[in-house]
Amino acid sequence: MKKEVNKEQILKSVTKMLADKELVRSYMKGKTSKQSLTSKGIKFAKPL
Amino acid sequence: MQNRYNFVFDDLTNTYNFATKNDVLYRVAFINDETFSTISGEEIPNVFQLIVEKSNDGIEPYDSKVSKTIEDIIERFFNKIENSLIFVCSDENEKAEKRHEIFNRWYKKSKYREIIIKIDNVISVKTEDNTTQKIYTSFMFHKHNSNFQKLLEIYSQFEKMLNDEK
Repeated sequence: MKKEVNKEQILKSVTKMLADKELVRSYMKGKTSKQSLTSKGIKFAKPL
Repeated sequence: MQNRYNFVFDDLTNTYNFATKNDVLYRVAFINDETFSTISGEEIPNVFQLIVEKSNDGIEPYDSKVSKTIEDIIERFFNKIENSLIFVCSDENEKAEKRHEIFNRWYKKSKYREIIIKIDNVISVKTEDNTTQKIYTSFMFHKHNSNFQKLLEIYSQFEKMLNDEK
Protein backbone atom coordinates (compact mmCIF):
# COMPACT_ATOMS: atom_id res chain seq x y z
CA MET A 1 0.00 0.00 0.00
CA LYS A 2 1.22 3.46 -0.86
CA LYS A 3 0.35 5.23 2.34
CA GLU A 4 0.55 4.39 6.01
CA VAL A 5 -2.73 3.03 7.28
CA ASN A 6 -4.44 5.28 9.74
CA LYS A 7 -6.78 3.71 12.28
CA GLU A 8 -9.14 6.68 12.34
CA GLN A 9 -9.39 6.69 8.59
CA ILE A 10 -10.26 3.00 8.50
CA LEU A 11 -12.87 3.54 11.19
CA LYS A 12 -14.34 6.44 9.22
CA SER A 13 -14.38 4.38 6.02
CA VAL A 14 -16.01 1.35 7.63
CA THR A 15 -18.58 3.54 9.36
CA LYS A 16 -19.36 5.22 6.04
CA MET A 17 -19.72 1.82 4.38
CA LEU A 18 -22.33 0.86 6.96
CA ALA A 19 -24.10 4.23 6.77
CA ASP A 20 -24.22 4.03 2.96
CA LYS A 21 -25.78 0.61 3.18
CA GLU A 22 -28.52 1.77 5.54
CA LEU A 23 -29.25 4.79 3.34
CA VAL A 24 -29.52 2.63 0.21
CA ARG A 25 -31.79 0.17 2.05
CA SER A 26 -34.01 3.06 3.01
CA TYR A 27 -33.99 4.27 -0.61
CA MET A 28 -34.96 0.82 -1.84
CA LYS A 29 -37.96 0.89 0.49
CA GLY A 30 -38.97 4.27 -0.95
CA LYS A 31 -38.18 6.14 2.27
CA THR A 32 -35.18 8.13 1.03
CA SER A 33 -34.74 10.18 -2.13
CA LYS A 34 -32.10 9.55 -4.75
CA GLN A 35 -30.85 13.09 -4.15
CA SER A 36 -30.02 12.17 -0.55
CA LEU A 37 -27.82 9.34 -1.82
CA THR A 38 -26.15 11.57 -4.39
CA SER A 39 -25.37 14.18 -1.74
CA LYS A 40 -23.56 11.48 0.27
CA GLY A 41 -21.50 10.50 -2.77
CA ILE A 42 -23.22 7.13 -3.24
CA LYS A 43 -22.98 5.90 -6.83
CA PHE A 44 -24.98 2.98 -8.19
CA ALA A 45 -23.32 0.57 -10.59
CA LYS A 46 -24.61 -1.77 -13.26
CA PRO A 47 -21.95 -4.47 -13.24
CA LEU A 48 -24.00 -7.24 -14.90
CA MET B 1 -39.44 -25.33 -13.91
CA GLN B 2 -36.75 -22.80 -13.05
CA ASN B 3 -35.43 -22.86 -9.51
CA ARG B 4 -34.99 -19.08 -9.49
CA TYR B 5 -36.81 -15.93 -10.55
CA ASN B 6 -36.03 -13.81 -13.56
CA PHE B 7 -34.67 -10.39 -12.69
CA VAL B 8 -34.52 -7.13 -14.61
CA PHE B 9 -32.49 -3.99 -14.22
CA ASP B 10 -34.67 -1.02 -13.36
CA ASP B 11 -33.16 2.15 -14.87
CA LEU B 12 -35.23 4.31 -12.57
CA THR B 13 -33.96 2.89 -9.29
CA ASN B 14 -30.66 1.50 -10.67
CA THR B 15 -31.37 -1.84 -9.02
CA TYR B 16 -31.87 -5.42 -10.19
CA ASN B 17 -35.44 -6.38 -9.33
CA PHE B 18 -37.43 -9.57 -9.07
CA ALA B 19 -40.86 -10.42 -7.70
CA THR B 20 -41.61 -13.61 -5.81
CA LYS B 21 -44.63 -15.90 -5.88
CA ASN B 22 -45.76 -14.16 -2.68
CA ASP B 23 -45.75 -10.80 -4.48
CA VAL B 24 -42.73 -9.55 -2.63
CA LEU B 25 -40.48 -7.29 -4.65
CA TYR B 26 -36.76 -7.69 -4.04
CA ARG B 27 -34.21 -5.11 -5.11
CA VAL B 28 -30.51 -5.85 -5.43
CA ALA B 29 -28.11 -2.92 -5.67
CA PHE B 30 -24.41 -2.64 -6.34
CA ILE B 31 -22.79 0.60 -5.24
CA ASN B 32 -19.24 1.66 -5.97
CA ASP B 33 -17.17 1.19 -2.86
CA GLU B 34 -14.21 3.47 -2.38
CA THR B 35 -13.15 2.11 0.99
CA PHE B 36 -10.23 0.19 -0.46
CA SER B 37 -9.03 3.22 -2.44
CA THR B 38 -9.37 5.54 0.56
CA ILE B 39 -7.47 3.23 2.87
CA SER B 40 -4.68 2.35 0.44
CA GLY B 41 -4.25 5.74 -1.22
CA GLU B 42 -4.34 3.99 -4.58
CA GLU B 43 -7.16 3.72 -7.03
CA ILE B 44 -8.67 0.27 -6.53
CA PRO B 45 -11.37 -0.16 -9.17
CA ASN B 46 -14.17 -2.72 -9.48
CA VAL B 47 -14.98 -2.99 -5.78
CA PHE B 48 -18.69 -2.88 -5.08
CA GLN B 49 -20.93 -3.16 -2.07
CA LEU B 50 -23.89 -5.52 -2.43
CA ILE B 51 -27.21 -4.53 -0.89
CA VAL B 52 -30.34 -6.67 -0.97
CA GLU B 53 -33.66 -5.38 0.28
CA LYS B 54 -37.34 -6.14 0.11
CA SER B 55 -39.47 -3.21 -0.92
CA ASN B 56 -41.94 -3.85 1.89
CA ASP B 57 -41.51 -4.69 5.58
CA GLY B 58 -43.77 -7.73 5.78
CA ILE B 59 -42.57 -11.21 6.72
CA GLU B 60 -42.38 -13.50 3.72
CA PRO B 61 -42.78 -17.29 3.93
CA TYR B 62 -39.57 -19.17 3.15
CA ASP B 63 -38.93 -19.25 -0.57
CA SER B 64 -35.83 -21.10 -1.78
CA LYS B 65 -35.97 -19.32 -5.12
CA VAL B 66 -34.98 -16.03 -3.48
CA SER B 67 -31.50 -17.18 -2.48
CA LYS B 68 -31.08 -18.97 -5.82
CA THR B 69 -31.90 -15.75 -7.65
CA ILE B 70 -29.44 -13.70 -5.59
CA GLU B 71 -26.87 -16.41 -6.15
CA ASP B 72 -27.45 -16.15 -9.88
CA ILE B 73 -26.94 -12.37 -9.74
CA ILE B 74 -23.69 -12.81 -7.80
CA GLU B 75 -22.48 -15.51 -10.16
CA ARG B 76 -23.06 -13.24 -13.16
CA PHE B 77 -21.35 -10.38 -11.33
CA PHE B 78 -18.21 -12.52 -11.13
CA ASN B 79 -18.23 -13.22 -14.86
CA LYS B 80 -15.97 -10.20 -14.83
CA ILE B 81 -13.02 -11.69 -12.99
CA GLU B 82 -11.68 -8.36 -11.71
CA ASN B 83 -14.91 -7.55 -9.84
CA SER B 84 -14.94 -7.91 -6.08
CA LEU B 85 -17.70 -7.55 -3.58
CA ILE B 86 -18.05 -6.37 -0.02
CA PHE B 87 -21.07 -7.30 2.04
CA VAL B 88 -21.88 -5.71 5.38
CA CYS B 89 -24.58 -7.26 7.53
CA SER B 90 -27.21 -4.85 8.72
CA ASP B 91 -27.70 -4.74 12.48
CA GLU B 92 -31.39 -3.91 12.20
CA ASN B 93 -33.18 -5.58 15.14
CA GLU B 94 -29.70 -6.50 16.43
CA LYS B 95 -29.51 -9.43 14.00
CA ALA B 96 -26.19 -8.72 12.27
CA GLU B 97 -24.56 -11.89 13.63
CA LYS B 98 -27.49 -14.04 12.55
CA ARG B 99 -27.47 -12.49 9.06
CA HIS B 100 -23.75 -13.12 8.86
CA GLU B 101 -24.28 -16.80 9.75
CA ILE B 102 -27.06 -17.14 7.16
CA PHE B 103 -24.88 -15.55 4.48
CA ASN B 104 -22.07 -17.92 5.41
CA ARG B 105 -24.29 -21.00 5.26
CA TRP B 106 -25.61 -19.85 1.92
CA TYR B 107 -22.08 -19.42 0.58
CA LYS B 108 -21.00 -22.87 1.81
CA LYS B 109 -23.88 -24.48 -0.05
CA SER B 110 -23.31 -22.42 -3.16
CA LYS B 111 -21.90 -23.98 -6.29
CA TYR B 112 -19.72 -20.93 -6.98
CA ARG B 113 -17.63 -21.31 -3.82
CA GLU B 114 -15.03 -23.18 -5.85
CA ILE B 115 -14.20 -20.10 -7.90
CA ILE B 116 -15.28 -17.28 -5.60
CA ILE B 117 -13.32 -16.81 -2.40
CA LYS B 118 -15.04 -15.35 0.65
CA ILE B 119 -13.13 -13.86 3.57
CA ASP B 120 -14.88 -12.64 6.71
CA ASN B 121 -13.94 -9.85 9.06
CA VAL B 122 -15.70 -9.14 12.31
CA ILE B 123 -14.72 -5.65 13.36
CA SER B 124 -15.25 -4.26 16.83
CA VAL B 125 -15.93 -0.56 16.87
CA LYS B 126 -16.24 1.64 19.95
CA THR B 127 -19.36 3.76 19.64
CA GLU B 128 -19.91 7.28 21.02
CA ASP B 129 -21.58 5.93 24.16
CA ASN B 130 -18.46 3.81 24.78
CA THR B 131 -20.10 0.49 24.00
CA THR B 132 -18.64 -1.88 21.44
CA GLN B 133 -20.45 -2.58 18.21
CA LYS B 134 -19.51 -5.56 16.09
CA ILE B 135 -19.60 -5.04 12.33
CA TYR B 136 -19.86 -8.25 10.34
CA THR B 137 -18.31 -7.95 6.90
CA SER B 138 -17.53 -10.39 4.10
CA PHE B 139 -15.32 -9.79 1.11
CA MET B 140 -15.62 -11.88 -2.05
CA PHE B 141 -13.39 -12.06 -5.07
CA HIS B 142 -12.72 -14.36 -8.01
CA LYS B 143 -9.83 -16.74 -7.43
CA HIS B 144 -8.24 -15.51 -10.67
CA ASN B 145 -8.49 -11.82 -9.77
CA SER B 146 -5.07 -10.42 -10.65
CA ASN B 147 -5.30 -7.91 -7.80
CA PHE B 148 -6.23 -10.35 -5.07
CA GLN B 149 -3.07 -10.03 -2.98
CA LYS B 150 -3.43 -6.28 -2.74
CA LEU B 151 -7.14 -6.57 -2.00
CA LEU B 152 -6.51 -9.07 0.77
CA GLU B 153 -3.77 -6.94 2.27
CA ILE B 154 -6.10 -3.94 2.47
CA TYR B 155 -9.06 -5.92 3.75
CA SER B 156 -7.00 -7.56 6.47
CA GLN B 157 -6.05 -4.07 7.67
CA PHE B 158 -9.67 -3.42 8.59
CA GLU B 159 -9.67 -6.03 11.29
CA LYS B 160 -6.04 -5.66 12.31
CA MET B 161 -6.21 -1.92 12.89
CA LEU B 162 -9.67 -1.64 14.36
CA ASN B 163 -9.40 -4.62 16.68
CA ASP B 164 -5.99 -3.53 17.94
CA GLU B 165 -6.56 -1.80 21.28
CA LYS B 166 -3.14 -0.16 21.29
